[in-house]
Amino acid sequence: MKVLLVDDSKVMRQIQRRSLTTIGFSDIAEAGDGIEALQQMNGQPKPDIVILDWNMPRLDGLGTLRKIRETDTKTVVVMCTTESEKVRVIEAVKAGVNNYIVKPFTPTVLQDKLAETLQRVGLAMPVPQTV
Amino acid sequence: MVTMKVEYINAFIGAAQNVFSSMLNTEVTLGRVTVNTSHVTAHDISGIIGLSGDAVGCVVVSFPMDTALAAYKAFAGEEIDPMDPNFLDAIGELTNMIAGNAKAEIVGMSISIGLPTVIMGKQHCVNAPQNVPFICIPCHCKLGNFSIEVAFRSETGNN
Repeated sequence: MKVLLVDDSKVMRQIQRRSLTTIGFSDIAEAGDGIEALQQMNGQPKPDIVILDWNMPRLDGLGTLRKIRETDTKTVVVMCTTESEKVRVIEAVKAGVNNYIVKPFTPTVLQDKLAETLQRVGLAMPVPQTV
Repeated sequence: MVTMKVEYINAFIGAAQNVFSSMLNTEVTLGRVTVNTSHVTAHDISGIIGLSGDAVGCVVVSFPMDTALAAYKAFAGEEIDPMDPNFLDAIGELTNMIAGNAKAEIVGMSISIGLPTVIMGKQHCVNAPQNVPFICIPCHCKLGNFSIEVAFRSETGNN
């Protein structure tokens, strides 16, 4: 299962990557803004899950989500953002987001929200590899 | 002179405490809040975010270098050279989270935040927007001292 992390903060992407690696995700790609994310959505293999920041240069998370949903209703998209006002969440839900994580978050919150989202859409979480 | 409601100041204090507790695993305590009408002399590195919409102004989160390096280590899980671009990136992201959380707590106002700018340099100054004082909130945590400066003017007449 491939995950695409979209955030203009490289350090935030590193933190998310570490949290996801811990729970067994190994195929993780990154994008620094919405334009880069859309380019990666056209690549192969296509991401199964997109974790998407809202406030980014060039193309923000909401615009990216709307672009994705023009052609793709299957890919799981989870917003991970400081934008926590109800009006923003409603905008994202209307645009087709699958779940919503408010920054700041702990690794456990990210992991639990992802597990909850995958369960909701009938996908299985990866099994962590043990050495 | 523009004033600022206590609940707006509390929104920024609560946001900083939330961000530092969740992302840096440390509790934040406060010093005495002061007002500066012209500018703030910041510490060594500052994250700055503009506010627009129903409120206009900016938020400055400023760190002495030692605190900033300790904060980076707590945030990213590794040490870093101050000249590494990831260092500035992390300070910007912490500022973004504080500003974003605070604006969500300010009821009845629709506020947008810009992308963070980070400035590094000893004793740099940040000017307040015209006729908007900086509310200066000294903070302390186990990583060291830092400060939050908020200059904030309601465009709805609801200061």
